[in-house]
Amino acid sequence: MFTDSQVRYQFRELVRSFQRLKAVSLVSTLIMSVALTMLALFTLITINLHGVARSFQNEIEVVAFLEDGLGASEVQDMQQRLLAHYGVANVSYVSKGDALAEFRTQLGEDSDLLDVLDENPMPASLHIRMHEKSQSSEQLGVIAAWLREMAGVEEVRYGDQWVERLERYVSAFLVLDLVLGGLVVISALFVVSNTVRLTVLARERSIEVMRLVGATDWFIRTPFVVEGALQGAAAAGLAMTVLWGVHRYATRFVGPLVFYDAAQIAGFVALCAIVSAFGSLTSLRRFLRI
Amino acid sequence: MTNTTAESRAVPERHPIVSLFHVTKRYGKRVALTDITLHVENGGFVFVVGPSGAGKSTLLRLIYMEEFPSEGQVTVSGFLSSRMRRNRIPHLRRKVGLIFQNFKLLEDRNIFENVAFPLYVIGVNRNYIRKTVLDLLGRVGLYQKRNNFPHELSGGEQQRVAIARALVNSPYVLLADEPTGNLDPVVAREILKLLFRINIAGTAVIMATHDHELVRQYRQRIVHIEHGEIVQDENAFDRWSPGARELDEAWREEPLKVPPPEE
Repeated sequence: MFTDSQVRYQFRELVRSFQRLKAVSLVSTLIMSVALTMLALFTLITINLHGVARSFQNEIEVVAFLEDGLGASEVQDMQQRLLAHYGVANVSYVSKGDALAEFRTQLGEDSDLLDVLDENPMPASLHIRMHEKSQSSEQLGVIAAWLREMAGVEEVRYGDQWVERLERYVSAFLVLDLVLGGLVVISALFVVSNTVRLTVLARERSIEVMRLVGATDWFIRTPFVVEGALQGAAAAGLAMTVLWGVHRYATRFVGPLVFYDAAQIAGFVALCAIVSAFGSLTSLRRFLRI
Repeated sequence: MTNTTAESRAVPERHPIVSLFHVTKRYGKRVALTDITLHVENGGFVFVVGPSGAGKSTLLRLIYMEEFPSEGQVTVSGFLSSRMRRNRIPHLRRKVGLIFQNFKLLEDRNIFENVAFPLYVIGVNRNYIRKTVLDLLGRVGLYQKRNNFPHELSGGEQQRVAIARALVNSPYVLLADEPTGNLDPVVAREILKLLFRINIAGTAVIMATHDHELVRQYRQRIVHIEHGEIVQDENAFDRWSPGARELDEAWREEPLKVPPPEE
Protein backbone atom coordinates (compact mmCIF):
# COMPACT_ATOMS: atom_id res chain seq x y z
CA MET A 1 0.00 0.00 0.00
CA PHE A 2 2.77 2.43 1.00
CA THR A 3 6.28 2.53 -0.31
CA ASP A 4 9.32 1.97 1.83
CA SER A 5 10.05 5.64 2.31
CA GLN A 6 6.42 6.39 3.12
CA VAL A 7 6.46 3.78 5.86
CA ARG A 8 9.68 5.20 7.22
CA TYR A 9 8.16 8.65 7.14
CA GLN A 10 5.00 7.49 8.90
CA PHE A 11 7.11 5.93 11.62
CA ARG A 12 9.00 9.16 12.18
CA GLU A 13 5.70 11.03 12.34
CA LEU A 14 4.45 8.61 14.96
CA VAL A 15 7.50 9.15 17.17
CA ARG A 16 7.28 12.90 16.64
CA SER A 17 3.62 12.96 17.57
CA PHE A 18 4.24 10.88 20.67
CA GLN A 19 7.10 13.10 21.78
CA ARG A 20 4.93 16.16 21.46
CA LEU A 21 1.95 14.74 23.30
CA LYS A 22 3.74 12.43 25.69
CA ALA A 23 1.67 13.39 28.73
CA VAL A 24 -1.66 13.18 26.96
CA SER A 25 -0.82 9.84 25.36
CA LEU A 26 0.38 8.36 28.64
CA VAL A 27 -2.59 9.59 30.65
CA SER A 28 -5.12 8.35 28.13
CA THR A 29 -3.36 4.98 27.94
CA LEU A 30 -3.45 4.78 31.73
CA ILE A 31 -7.14 5.62 31.92
CA MET A 32 -7.85 3.04 29.29
CA SER A 33 -5.83 0.41 31.08
CA VAL A 34 -7.66 1.07 34.36
CA ALA A 35 -10.96 0.48 32.60
CA LEU A 36 -9.61 -2.63 30.92
CA THR A 37 -8.23 -3.95 34.21
CA MET A 38 -11.69 -3.72 35.72
CA LEU A 39 -13.18 -5.55 32.80
CA ALA A 40 -10.54 -8.28 32.80
CA LEU A 41 -10.81 -8.63 36.57
CA PHE A 42 -14.54 -9.21 36.49
CA THR A 43 -14.22 -11.64 33.65
CA LEU A 44 -11.53 -13.51 35.54
CA ILE A 45 -13.72 -13.71 38.63
CA THR A 46 -16.49 -15.10 36.48
CA ILE A 47 -14.21 -17.68 34.96
CA ASN A 48 -13.01 -18.81 38.38
CA LEU A 49 -16.52 -18.93 39.78
CA HIS A 50 -17.58 -20.98 36.83
CA GLY A 51 -14.67 -23.31 37.47
CA VAL A 52 -15.72 -23.74 41.09
CA ALA A 53 -19.27 -24.51 40.08
CA ARG A 54 -17.92 -26.99 37.57
CA SER A 55 -15.80 -28.80 40.10
CA PHE A 56 -18.73 -29.17 42.46
CA GLN A 57 -20.92 -30.42 39.69
CA ASN A 58 -18.36 -33.09 38.95
CA GLU A 59 -19.03 -34.59 42.33
CA ILE A 60 -22.73 -34.48 41.87
CA GLU A 61 -24.62 -37.61 41.12
CA VAL A 62 -28.22 -38.63 41.26
CA VAL A 63 -28.85 -41.37 43.76
CA ALA A 64 -31.95 -43.53 43.45
CA PHE A 65 -32.71 -45.66 46.49
CA LEU A 66 -34.42 -48.86 45.49
CA GLU A 67 -37.22 -50.78 47.14
CA ASP A 68 -36.22 -53.94 48.86
CA GLY A 69 -36.67 -57.24 47.10
CA LEU A 70 -35.90 -56.27 43.53
CA GLY A 71 -34.44 -59.04 41.48
CA ALA A 72 -31.06 -58.78 39.78
CA SER A 73 -32.67 -58.78 36.32
CA GLU A 74 -34.97 -55.90 37.29
CA VAL A 75 -32.01 -53.91 38.54
CA GLN A 76 -30.11 -54.66 35.36
CA ASP A 77 -33.11 -53.60 33.31
CA MET A 78 -33.28 -50.28 35.17
CA GLN A 79 -29.56 -49.75 34.60
CA GLN A 80 -30.02 -50.32 30.88
CA ARG A 81 -32.90 -47.88 30.67
CA LEU A 82 -30.97 -45.25 32.60
CA LEU A 83 -27.93 -45.61 30.37
CA ALA A 84 -30.15 -45.09 27.37
CA HIS A 85 -31.33 -41.80 28.80
CA TYR A 86 -29.83 -38.66 27.34
CA GLY A 87 -26.85 -37.32 29.23
CA VAL A 88 -26.24 -40.27 31.51
CA ALA A 89 -22.58 -41.26 31.62
CA ASN A 90 -22.64 -44.28 33.88
CA VAL A 91 -24.77 -46.05 36.42
CA SER A 92 -23.34 -48.01 39.28
CA TYR A 93 -25.26 -50.38 41.51
CA VAL A 94 -24.68 -50.47 45.22
CA SER A 95 -26.32 -53.50 46.81
CA LYS A 96 -27.76 -53.59 50.32
CA GLY A 97 -24.69 -55.46 51.49
CA ASP A 98 -22.28 -52.95 49.91
CA ALA A 99 -24.17 -50.10 51.47
CA LEU A 100 -24.02 -51.70 54.90
CA ALA A 101 -20.30 -52.39 54.54
CA GLU A 102 -19.72 -48.78 53.57
CA PHE A 103 -21.77 -47.57 56.47
CA ARG A 104 -19.75 -49.81 58.76
CA THR A 105 -16.46 -48.31 57.62
CA GLN A 106 -17.94 -44.87 58.07
CA LEU A 107 -18.94 -45.66 61.62
CA GLY A 108 -15.51 -47.06 62.37
CA GLU A 109 -15.27 -48.09 65.99
CA ASP A 110 -18.93 -47.64 66.54
CA SER A 111 -19.74 -50.19 63.89
CA ASP A 112 -20.62 -52.67 66.65
CA LEU A 113 -23.88 -50.82 66.95
CA LEU A 114 -24.99 -52.34 63.68
CA ASP A 115 -24.69 -55.81 65.10
CA VAL A 116 -27.76 -55.10 67.18
CA LEU A 117 -29.88 -55.04 64.05
CA ASP A 118 -31.27 -58.31 62.92
CA GLU A 119 -31.75 -57.23 59.37
CA ASN A 120 -29.91 -54.91 56.94
CA PRO A 121 -31.60 -51.47 57.10
CA MET A 122 -29.67 -50.02 54.19
CA PRO A 123 -31.46 -49.79 50.85
CA ALA A 124 -29.79 -50.80 47.61
CA SER A 125 -29.16 -47.85 45.31
CA LEU A 126 -28.23 -46.78 41.81
CA HIS A 127 -25.64 -43.99 41.45
CA ILE A 128 -26.05 -42.09 38.22
CA ARG A 129 -23.29 -39.87 36.87
CA MET A 130 -23.97 -37.45 34.08
CA HIS A 131 -21.90 -36.49 31.09
CA GLU A 132 -20.00 -33.30 31.66
CA LYS A 133 -22.18 -31.33 29.29
CA SER A 134 -25.39 -32.37 30.98
CA GLN A 135 -24.37 -31.52 34.50
CA SER A 136 -26.61 -28.53 34.92
CA SER A 137 -29.00 -28.69 37.83
CA GLU A 138 -31.80 -28.55 35.34
CA GLN A 139 -30.69 -31.79 33.71
CA LEU A 140 -30.23 -33.44 37.07
CA GLY A 141 -33.78 -32.40 37.95
CA VAL A 142 -35.13 -34.00 34.78
CA ILE A 143 -33.39 -37.29 35.51
CA ALA A 144 -34.52 -37.18 39.13
CA ALA A 145 -38.15 -36.62 38.16
CA TRP A 146 -37.99 -39.40 35.64
CA LEU A 147 -36.50 -41.78 38.21
CA ARG A 148 -39.22 -40.98 40.74
CA GLU A 149 -41.79 -42.24 38.29
CA MET A 150 -39.94 -45.49 37.82
CA ALA A 151 -41.29 -48.63 39.44
CA GLY A 152 -39.06 -49.98 42.19
CA VAL A 153 -37.60 -46.61 43.10
CA GLU A 154 -38.28 -45.50 46.61
CA GLU A 155 -36.52 -42.20 46.83
CA VAL A 156 -34.32 -39.96 44.70
CA ARG A 157 -31.70 -37.50 45.88
CA TYR A 158 -29.52 -35.19 43.87
CA GLY A 159 -27.29 -32.15 44.12
CA ASP A 160 -28.78 -29.52 46.33
CA GLN A 161 -30.21 -26.10 45.70
CA TRP A 162 -26.91 -24.36 46.24
CA VAL A 163 -25.54 -25.65 42.97
CA GLU A 164 -28.36 -23.89 41.28
CA ARG A 165 -27.60 -20.75 43.22
CA LEU A 166 -23.95 -20.90 42.25
CA GLU A 167 -24.92 -21.16 38.65
CA ARG A 168 -27.15 -18.17 38.98
CA TYR A 169 -24.22 -16.20 40.37
CA VAL A 170 -22.13 -17.23 37.43
CA SER A 171 -24.72 -16.04 34.93
CA ALA A 172 -25.28 -12.84 36.90
CA PHE A 173 -21.57 -12.19 36.69
CA LEU A 174 -21.68 -12.88 32.99
CA VAL A 175 -24.32 -10.18 32.54
CA LEU A 176 -22.23 -7.86 34.65
CA ASP A 177 -19.24 -8.61 32.46
CA LEU A 178 -21.19 -7.76 29.35
CA VAL A 179 -22.49 -4.49 30.78
CA LEU A 180 -19.07 -3.58 32.07
CA GLY A 181 -17.53 -4.57 28.77
CA GLY A 182 -19.89 -2.23 26.93
CA LEU A 183 -19.11 0.62 29.32
CA VAL A 184 -15.39 0.01 29.02
CA VAL A 185 -15.53 0.02 25.25
CA ILE A 186 -17.50 3.26 25.23
CA SER A 187 -15.24 5.00 27.72
CA ALA A 188 -12.15 3.75 25.92
CA LEU A 189 -13.52 5.21 22.69
CA PHE A 190 -14.12 8.53 24.44
CA VAL A 191 -10.59 8.60 25.76
CA VAL A 192 -9.17 7.70 22.38
CA SER A 193 -11.36 10.27 20.69
CA ASN A 194 -10.12 12.98 23.03
CA THR A 195 -6.52 12.04 22.42
CA VAL A 196 -7.12 12.11 18.70
CA ARG A 197 -8.67 15.56 18.99
CA LEU A 198 -5.59 16.88 20.76
CA THR A 199 -3.30 15.17 18.26
CA VAL A 200 -5.28 16.62 15.39
CA LEU A 201 -5.06 20.10 16.90
CA ALA A 202 -1.32 19.71 17.36
CA ARG A 203 -0.91 18.52 13.79
CA GLU A 204 -3.50 20.70 12.10
CA ARG A 205 -0.90 22.58 10.10
CA SER A 206 0.91 19.53 8.86
CA ILE A 207 -2.37 17.83 7.96
CA GLU A 208 -3.43 20.90 5.98
CA VAL A 209 -0.11 20.97 4.16
CA MET A 210 -0.27 17.23 3.55
CA ARG A 211 -3.60 17.65 1.82
CA LEU A 212 -2.32 20.56 -0.23
CA VAL A 213 0.68 18.64 -1.49
CA GLY A 214 -1.28 15.56 -2.45
CA ALA A 215 -1.30 13.14 0.45
CA THR A 216 -4.01 10.53 0.17
CA ASP A 217 -6.58 10.29 2.94
CA TRP A 218 -5.13 7.00 4.06
CA PHE A 219 -1.66 8.43 4.26
CA ILE A 220 -2.96 11.10 6.62
CA ARG A 221 -5.02 8.68 8.66
CA THR A 222 -2.47 5.92 9.09
CA PRO A 223 -0.39 7.45 11.89
CA PHE A 224 -3.56 8.11 13.87
CA VAL A 225 -4.83 4.60 13.39
CA VAL A 226 -1.48 3.08 14.29
CA GLU A 227 -1.22 5.32 17.32
CA GLY A 228 -4.68 4.23 18.42
CA ALA A 229 -3.82 0.58 17.96
CA LEU A 230 -0.57 0.92 19.89
CA GLN A 231 -2.34 2.74 22.69
CA GLY A 232 -5.02 0.08 22.91
CA ALA A 233 -2.46 -2.70 22.92
CA ALA A 234 -0.33 -0.95 25.53
CA ALA A 235 -3.37 -0.35 27.75
CA ALA A 236 -4.43 -3.98 27.42
CA GLY A 237 -0.91 -5.20 28.14
CA LEU A 238 -0.70 -3.03 31.21
CA ALA A 239 -4.11 -4.22 32.39
CA MET A 240 -3.01 -7.83 32.00
CA THR A 241 0.21 -7.19 33.91
CA VAL A 242 -1.63 -5.55 36.79
CA LEU A 243 -4.18 -8.30 36.86
CA TRP A 244 -1.51 -10.96 36.88
CA GLY A 245 -0.04 -9.33 39.99
CA VAL A 246 -3.47 -9.33 41.61
CA HIS A 247 -3.90 -12.94 40.62
CA ARG A 248 -0.57 -13.96 42.15
CA TYR A 249 -1.47 -12.14 45.34
CA ALA A 250 -4.95 -13.62 45.57
CA THR A 251 -3.66 -17.14 44.94
CA ARG A 252 -1.72 -16.98 48.18
CA PHE A 253 -4.93 -16.63 50.15
CA VAL A 254 -7.61 -18.41 48.19
CA GLY A 255 -5.61 -21.23 46.69
CA PRO A 256 -5.09 -22.02 43.02
CA LEU A 257 -7.04 -19.75 40.70
CA VAL A 258 -7.32 -19.82 36.95
CA PHE A 259 -5.62 -17.10 34.90
CA TYR A 260 -6.06 -16.31 31.22
CA ASP A 261 -4.03 -18.51 28.93
CA ALA A 262 -1.63 -17.13 26.35
CA ALA A 263 -4.16 -17.24 23.51
CA GLN A 264 -6.74 -15.36 25.57
CA ILE A 265 -4.22 -12.69 26.53
CA ALA A 266 -3.15 -12.30 22.92
CA GLY A 267 -6.78 -12.10 21.83
CA PHE A 268 -7.57 -9.51 24.49
CA VAL A 269 -4.64 -7.32 23.49
CA ALA A 270 -5.49 -7.65 19.81
CA LEU A 271 -9.14 -6.84 20.39
CA CYS A 272 -8.29 -3.75 22.43
CA ALA A 273 -5.88 -2.62 19.71
CA ILE A 274 -8.55 -3.02 17.05
CA VAL A 275 -11.24 -1.23 19.03
CA SER A 276 -8.89 1.59 19.86
CA ALA A 277 -7.70 1.93 16.26
CA PHE A 278 -11.29 1.98 15.10
CA GLY A 279 -12.14 4.66 17.68
CA SER A 280 -9.20 6.67 16.49
CA LEU A 281 -10.35 6.42 12.89
CA THR A 282 -13.96 7.39 13.55
CA SER A 283 -13.06 10.36 15.69
CA LEU A 284 -10.55 11.46 13.09
CA ARG A 285 -13.36 11.48 10.57
CA ARG A 286 -15.39 13.60 12.94
CA PHE A 287 -12.69 16.22 13.46
CA LEU A 288 -11.23 16.29 9.99
CA ARG A 289 -13.96 15.08 7.67
CA ILE A 290 -11.48 12.75 6.04
CA MET B 1 12.05 17.24 -22.15
CA THR B 2 14.23 15.11 -24.35
CA ASN B 3 12.03 12.09 -24.93
CA THR B 4 9.59 12.86 -27.68
CA THR B 5 7.18 9.97 -27.43
CA ALA B 6 4.14 9.67 -29.63
CA GLU B 7 2.08 10.84 -26.71
CA SER B 8 3.95 14.06 -26.10
CA ARG B 9 4.05 14.89 -29.82
CA ALA B 10 0.30 14.46 -30.07
CA VAL B 11 -0.23 17.32 -27.61
CA PRO B 12 -0.23 20.75 -29.25
CA GLU B 13 2.42 23.06 -27.93
CA ARG B 14 0.00 25.62 -26.63
CA HIS B 15 -2.91 23.83 -25.09
CA PRO B 16 -4.61 25.18 -22.01
CA ILE B 17 -3.26 23.72 -18.80
CA VAL B 18 -6.00 25.40 -16.79
CA SER B 19 -9.43 26.23 -18.15
CA LEU B 20 -12.49 27.68 -16.53
CA PHE B 21 -15.67 27.52 -18.59
CA HIS B 22 -18.48 29.78 -17.43
CA VAL B 23 -17.71 29.13 -13.82
CA THR B 24 -20.01 30.49 -11.16
CA LYS B 25 -19.32 29.90 -7.49
CA ARG B 26 -21.88 30.58 -4.80
CA TYR B 27 -21.62 30.22 -1.05
CA GLY B 28 -25.23 29.97 -0.04
CA LYS B 29 -26.69 33.21 -1.36
CA ARG B 30 -23.42 35.07 -1.70
CA VAL B 31 -21.95 34.89 -5.17
CA ALA B 32 -18.16 34.74 -5.14
CA LEU B 33 -17.55 34.33 -8.88
CA THR B 34 -19.89 34.94 -11.79
CA ASP B 35 -19.56 33.33 -15.19
CA ILE B 36 -15.77 33.21 -15.31
CA THR B 37 -14.23 31.90 -18.51
CA LEU B 38 -10.47 31.84 -18.46
CA HIS B 39 -7.84 29.77 -20.19
CA VAL B 40 -4.24 29.61 -19.15
CA GLU B 41 -1.97 27.97 -21.66
CA ASN B 42 0.69 25.46 -20.81
CA GLY B 43 3.73 27.42 -19.75
CA GLY B 44 1.78 30.66 -19.57
CA PHE B 45 1.95 33.34 -16.93
CA VAL B 46 -1.10 35.16 -15.60
CA PHE B 47 -1.51 37.74 -12.88
CA VAL B 48 -4.96 37.76 -11.37
CA VAL B 49 -5.42 41.21 -9.92
CA GLY B 50 -8.25 42.67 -7.93
CA PRO B 51 -9.17 44.14 -4.55
CA SER B 52 -9.42 41.81 -1.59
CA GLY B 53 -12.69 39.92 -1.58
CA ALA B 54 -12.97 40.11 -5.36
CA GLY B 55 -12.77 36.34 -5.68
CA LYS B 56 -9.10 35.78 -6.51
CA SER B 57 -8.56 33.19 -3.82
CA THR B 58 -11.78 31.43 -4.73
CA LEU B 59 -10.57 31.26 -8.31
CA LEU B 60 -7.35 29.58 -7.22
CA ARG B 61 -9.18 27.25 -4.84
CA LEU B 62 -11.35 26.14 -7.75
CA ILE B 63 -8.23 25.36 -9.73
CA TYR B 64 -6.63 23.21 -7.05
CA MET B 65 -10.07 21.79 -6.42
CA GLU B 66 -10.40 22.65 -2.80
CA GLU B 67 -13.73 24.05 -3.99
CA PHE B 68 -15.96 23.00 -6.85
CA PRO B 69 -17.91 25.32 -9.12
CA SER B 70 -21.64 25.77 -8.55
CA GLU B 71 -21.97 26.05 -12.31
CA GLY B 72 -19.54 25.52 -15.15
CA GLN B 73 -16.45 23.44 -15.48
CA VAL B 74 -12.84 23.67 -14.37
CA THR B 75 -10.20 21.60 -16.12
CA VAL B 76 -6.64 21.29 -14.97
CA SER B 77 -4.39 19.18 -17.15
CA GLY B 78 -7.07 16.65 -17.91
CA PHE B 79 -8.69 16.70 -14.47
CA LEU B 80 -12.32 17.75 -14.80
CA SER B 81 -14.06 19.34 -11.86
CA SER B 82 -17.39 17.81 -12.85
CA ARG B 83 -15.98 14.29 -12.85
CA MET B 84 -13.54 14.63 -10.01
CA ARG B 85 -13.66 11.94 -7.38
CA ARG B 86 -12.44 12.58 -3.87
CA ASN B 87 -9.70 10.00 -4.10
CA ARG B 88 -8.33 11.59 -7.28
CA ILE B 89 -7.76 14.99 -5.69
CA PRO B 90 -4.34 14.02 -4.25
CA HIS B 91 -3.20 13.14 -7.76
CA LEU B 92 -4.20 16.58 -9.00
CA ARG B 93 -2.43 18.25 -6.07
CA ARG B 94 0.78 16.50 -7.02
CA LYS B 95 0.70 18.28 -10.35
CA VAL B 96 -0.22 21.71 -8.97
CA GLY B 97 2.27 23.68 -6.88
CA LEU B 98 0.82 26.01 -4.25
CA ILE B 99 2.25 28.99 -2.42
CA PHE B 100 0.44 31.31 -0.05
CA GLN B 101 0.76 34.67 1.63
CA ASN B 102 1.46 33.02 4.99
CA PHE B 103 3.87 30.46 3.50
CA LYS B 104 2.29 27.49 5.34
CA LEU B 105 5.62 26.04 6.34
CA LEU B 106 5.85 23.43 9.06
CA GLU B 107 7.49 25.17 12.00
CA ASP B 108 8.73 22.01 13.67
CA ARG B 109 10.77 20.87 10.69
CA ASN B 110 13.88 22.27 9.15
CA ILE B 111 14.08 23.73 5.67
CA PHE B 112 15.20 20.50 4.04
CA GLU B 113 12.32 18.55 5.58
CA ASN B 114 9.83 21.23 4.58
CA VAL B 115 10.85 21.07 0.96
CA ALA B 116 11.06 17.28 1.03
CA PHE B 117 7.59 17.02 2.59
CA PRO B 118 5.59 16.48 -0.65
CA LEU B 119 8.03 13.77 -1.68
CA TYR B 120 7.76 11.99 1.65
CA VAL B 121 4.02 12.08 1.22
CA ILE B 122 4.20 10.52 -2.21
CA GLY B 123 6.86 8.12 -1.08
CA VAL B 124 9.64 8.40 -3.59
CA ASN B 125 13.07 6.94 -3.14
CA ARG B 126 15.15 8.60 -0.41
CA ASN B 127 18.20 9.20 -2.53
CA TYR B 128 16.03 10.91 -5.10
CA ILE B 129 14.48 13.07 -2.37
CA ARG B 130 17.88 14.11 -1.10
CA LYS B 131 19.21 14.92 -4.54
CA THR B 132 16.12 16.80 -5.72
CA VAL B 133 15.64 18.83 -2.57
CA LEU B 134 19.26 19.91 -2.25
CA ASP B 135 19.33 20.81 -5.93
CA LEU B 136 16.18 22.88 -5.60
CA LEU B 137 17.40 24.60 -2.43
CA GLY B 138 20.54 25.51 -4.31
CA ARG B 139 18.53 27.04 -7.13
CA VAL B 140 16.40 29.19 -4.82
CA GLY B 141 19.57 30.18 -2.94
CA LEU B 142 18.86 28.50 0.37
CA TYR B 143 21.29 25.61 0.31
CA GLN B 144 23.21 27.07 3.26
CA LYS B 145 20.05 27.28 5.34
CA ARG B 146 18.89 23.74 4.76
CA ASN B 147 19.27 22.80 8.43
CA ASN B 148 17.65 25.95 9.80
CA PHE B 149 14.08 26.13 10.98
CA PRO B 150 11.48 28.41 9.36
CA HIS B 151 11.37 30.88 12.27
CA GLU B 152 15.10 31.52 11.81
CA LEU B 153 14.50 32.77 8.26
CA SER B 154 13.28 36.12 6.91
CA GLY B 155 9.90 36.36 5.22
CA GLY B 156 11.42 36.37 1.75
CA GLU B 157 13.51 33.32 2.56
CA GLN B 158 10.47 31.52 3.94
CA GLN B 159 8.56 32.22 0.75
CA ARG B 160 11.47 30.83 -1.23
CA VAL B 161 11.29 27.68 0.85
CA ALA B 162 7.58 27.49 0.08
CA ILE B 163 8.31 27.93 -3.63
CA ALA B 164 10.90 25.16 -3.53
CA ARG B 165 8.36 22.93 -1.83
CA ALA B 166 5.77 23.76 -4.49
CA LEU B 167 8.20 22.87 -7.26
CA VAL B 168 9.57 19.68 -5.83
CA ASN B 169 6.89 17.60 -7.55
CA SER B 170 7.58 19.17 -10.96
CA PRO B 171 4.07 20.62 -11.25
CA TYR B 172 2.44 21.69 -14.51
CA VAL B 173 1.24 24.87 -12.91
CA LEU B 174 2.19 26.95 -9.92
CA LEU B 175 -0.61 28.76 -8.11
CA ALA B 176 0.46 31.69 -5.97
CA ASP B 177 -2.10 33.30 -3.70
CA GLU B 178 -0.79 36.75 -2.67
CA PRO B 179 2.75 35.42 -2.41
CA THR B 180 4.14 38.89 -1.79
CA GLY B 181 1.45 40.03 0.62
CA ASN B 182 3.67 39.78 3.69
CA LEU B 183 6.86 41.03 2.05
CA ASP B 184 8.34 44.46 1.53
CA PRO B 185 8.56 45.69 -2.09
CA VAL B 186 12.22 44.84 -2.64
CA VAL B 187 11.75 41.28 -1.44
CA ALA B 188 8.47 41.07 -3.36
CA ARG B 189 10.30 41.80 -6.57
CA GLU B 190 12.81 39.09 -5.82
CA ILE B 191 10.00 36.62 -5.37
CA LEU B 192 8.44 37.78 -8.63
CA LYS B 193 11.72 37.31 -10.43
CA LEU B 194 11.88 33.81 -9.03
CA LEU B 195 8.38 33.14 -10.39
CA PHE B 196 9.44 34.41 -13.82
CA ARG B 197 12.44 32.13 -13.77
CA ILE B 198 10.20 29.23 -12.95
CA ASN B 199 7.87 30.23 -15.78
CA ILE B 200 10.67 30.50 -18.29
CA ALA B 201 11.66 26.95 -17.39
CA GLY B 202 8.23 25.84 -18.55
CA THR B 203 5.91 25.85 -15.57
CA ALA B 204 2.70 27.80 -15.93
CA VAL B 205 2.19 30.34 -13.15
CA ILE B 206 -1.02 31.90 -11.94
CA MET B 207 -0.44 34.55 -9.34
CA ALA B 208 -3.21 36.31 -7.50
CA THR B 209 -2.43 39.71 -6.00
CA HIS B 210 -4.17 42.90 -4.98
CA ASP B 211 -1.03 44.88 -5.83
CA HIS B 212 -1.57 46.18 -9.35
CA GLU B 213 1.32 48.62 -8.98
CA LEU B 214 3.70 45.73 -8.48
CA VAL B 215 2.72 43.84 -11.58
CA ARG B 216 1.67 46.49 -14.12
CA GLN B 217 5.26 47.15 -15.17
CA TYR B 218 5.64 43.64 -16.51
CA ARG B 219 4.35 42.54 -19.86
CA GLN B 220 2.63 39.46 -18.55
CA ARG B 221 -1.03 38.90 -18.99
CA ILE B 222 -3.10 40.53 -16.24
CA VAL B 223 -6.65 39.42 -15.54
CA HIS B 224 -8.60 41.91 -13.47
CA ILE B 225 -11.32 40.60 -11.22
CA GLU B 226 -13.86 42.75 -9.43
CA HIS B 227 -16.92 41.55 -7.57
CA GLY B 228 -16.40 38.05 -8.89
CA GLU B 229 -16.24 39.03 -12.54
CA ILE B 230 -13.44 39.42 -15.05
CA VAL B 231 -13.48 43.09 -15.94
CA GLN B 232 -10.34 43.28 -18.02
CA ASP B 233 -7.85 40.90 -19.59
CA GLU B 234 -4.65 42.83 -20.37
CA ASN B 235 -1.94 41.58 -22.70
CA ALA B 236 -3.94 38.50 -23.53
CA PHE B 237 -3.40 39.13 -27.26
CA ASP B 238 -1.57 36.31 -28.94
CA ARG B 239 -1.18 34.01 -26.00
CA TRP B 240 -4.57 32.41 -26.13
CA SER B 241 -6.91 32.74 -29.01
CA PRO B 242 -7.01 29.73 -31.35
CA GLY B 243 -9.62 27.29 -30.21
CA ALA B 244 -10.95 29.48 -27.46
CA ARG B 245 -13.95 30.66 -29.47
CA GLU B 246 -14.82 27.13 -30.53
CA LEU B 247 -14.64 25.90 -26.96
CA ASP B 248 -16.77 28.81 -25.89
CA GLU B 249 -19.43 28.05 -28.49
CA ALA B 250 -19.41 24.36 -27.69
CA TRP B 251 -20.13 25.18 -24.10
CA ARG B 252 -23.34 26.99 -25.06
CA GLU B 253 -24.74 24.09 -27.03
CA GLU B 254 -26.58 21.09 -25.68
CA PRO B 255 -24.18 19.26 -23.38
CA LEU B 256 -22.98 15.93 -24.74
CA LYS B 257 -23.12 13.84 -21.63
CA VAL B 258 -20.62 11.03 -21.18
CA PRO B 259 -21.21 8.05 -18.94
CA PRO B 260 -19.86 8.45 -15.42
CA PRO B 261 -16.45 6.88 -14.79
CA GLU B 262 -16.23 3.32 -13.60
CA GLU B 263 -16.00 3.09 -9.84
